[in-house]
Amino acid sequence: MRIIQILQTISFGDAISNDVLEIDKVLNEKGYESSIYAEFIRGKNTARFVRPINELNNHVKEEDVVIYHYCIGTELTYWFKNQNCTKILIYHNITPHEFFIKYSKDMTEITRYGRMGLYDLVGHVDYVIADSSYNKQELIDIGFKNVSVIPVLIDFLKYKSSPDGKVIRRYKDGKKNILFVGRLAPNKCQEDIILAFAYYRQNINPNSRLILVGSNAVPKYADDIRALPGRLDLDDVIFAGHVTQEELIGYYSVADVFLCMSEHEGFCVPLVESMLFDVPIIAFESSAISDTLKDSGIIFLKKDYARVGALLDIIMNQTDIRNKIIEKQKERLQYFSYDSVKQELLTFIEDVIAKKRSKQ
Amino acid sequence: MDEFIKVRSQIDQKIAAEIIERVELKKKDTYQLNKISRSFRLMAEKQDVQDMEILLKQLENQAHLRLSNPLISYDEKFSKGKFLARRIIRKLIKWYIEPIAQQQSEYNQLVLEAIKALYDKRSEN
Repeated sequence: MRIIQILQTISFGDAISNDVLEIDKVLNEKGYESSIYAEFIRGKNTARFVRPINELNNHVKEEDVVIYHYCIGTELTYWFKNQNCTKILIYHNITPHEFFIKYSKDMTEITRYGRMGLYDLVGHVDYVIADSSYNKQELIDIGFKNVSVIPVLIDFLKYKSSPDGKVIRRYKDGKKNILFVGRLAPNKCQEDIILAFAYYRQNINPNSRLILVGSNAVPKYADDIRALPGRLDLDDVIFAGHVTQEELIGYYSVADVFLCMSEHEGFCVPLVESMLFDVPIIAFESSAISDTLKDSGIIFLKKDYARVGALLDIIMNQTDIRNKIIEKQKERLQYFSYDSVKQELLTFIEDVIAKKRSKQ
Repeated sequence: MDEFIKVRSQIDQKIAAEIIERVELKKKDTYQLNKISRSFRLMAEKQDVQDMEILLKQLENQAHLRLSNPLISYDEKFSKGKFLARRIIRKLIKWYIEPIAQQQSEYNQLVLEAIKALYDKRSEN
C-alpha cells in the first residue's frame, strides 16, 4: 500500500507545497511508502521529491491511498474522482473568482473551474480534511460530510536558522517596521495596507516603514499596487518580492507588527509565523482569520485607516499591551505545534488504514 | 462610534477604548485616502473598459467587407495590360463574390451587435 499525495503545482516557499512536503516527511518517517506527484513542478529543490503526475496515470492500485490537496481548478480533480483507491481530500480553499475578474481572465477561469470541480467531488471521496473551521464550513455547505479539521503542518525548526544578514542590516535601523507576507493578489488587499500605512506615517510616525513580502501572483494587480505609493507620495514602502527562507526569517525578525487586511484566507500561514517570531498581529476580520487567531492577536472589523493607524501606534508603543498580545499568541501557537499537528495527522491516517484493512 | 475592534478579552476592550480616545483627539481626516482607495478599485475596471472599447472600435471598422478597393496602375512593364486584366477578372467574378461578401458583412454585423449587447449588459451589472 502506498500513500500518494497529488496537487496541481508544487513550488518552493508556498504554504500548500510546504504542507505537502512536511506530510510526506512525516509519513516516510512513520514507515509508509509515501510519494508526491504534481502537474507542475517548480524549483530544483522541490523537483527532487516530486514526480510529474503523468507518471502516475493508470498506476494507482485499489489498495493505495491518494491524498489530493485542493486549492485551484485543474483536470486532476476529475482524474482523482475516477480512481478506485481510498481517496482523501485536503481542502485548502479556493480564492473566490470575483476577486480576479478585474485583473486576470486566467485566474478568474481557473478559480471558477476549481469551485465547480469541488461540487463534482461531493460523494466521490472517502475522507475529507479542512485546514480550518472556515474551510470545513464551506465544504459542509457544498454537501461534504464528516469533515475533519487538521491545521497546516508547519515545521517550526525551519524558522530556527539564522536570518539573512542583509535584511537585518538594512531594516534594523530604528524605524518601526510594519510587515505583511503574502503574494500580491487582489484578495490580499495590499492597497488597504498601503493606505493604512500612509495614514500612520503621515499623521502619527514618519519614522516607519512598510514591508510587503510576496511574489507577483497577478501581474496587473501587482503593477497597480507597486504604483500606489507613488500616487500617495509615500516613501519607505518596500516590495521584497519572493524571498528565501533566510530572508523571510530576517523580515519577521525586524518586524514590529504584522498587519493583515486580506479579505480571503483559507488558513493564513503568515499569522502562525508571526506568532512564532513574537510579532504582534493586527488583522482584518475575514474568512479564516478568526479561526487561525482565535483569541490571540487583534482583530478589527472595519477598514478605517485612521483607526488602523491608531491601533498600529498603540500596539507598537505600549509595551504592556504588546506583551499581553504576544503572550496570547504564544498560547495559541501551541495548537499549531509541529508535534501536535503531526500526531493528529498520523492518527487520522492510521484510522483510515485500519478501516481499510477491516473492509478487506 | 461603531465597533471597530472585535472584543474577545479585557485587552481588546482596553485597546478599543484607547482607539476611540485617540481618533477623537486627532480628528484626522481620511477623506483623501478613502478617495484613493475607491479610485484604486476603479482603476482596473477603467483599464478593462478602455481595452474593450478599443477592441469594439476595431471590430466596427472591419466588420463590413469592402469590395471597392481601387485598382492601382503601377508604372512598370506591361502595367496597362495587367491593370486591364485585373479589371476584367474583377468584373467576371463579381456576381459570385458580392453575395458572399454581403453575407459575411451581415454576419459580422450581427456578431458585433451581440458582443456590444453583452458588453452593455455587463456594464449595467
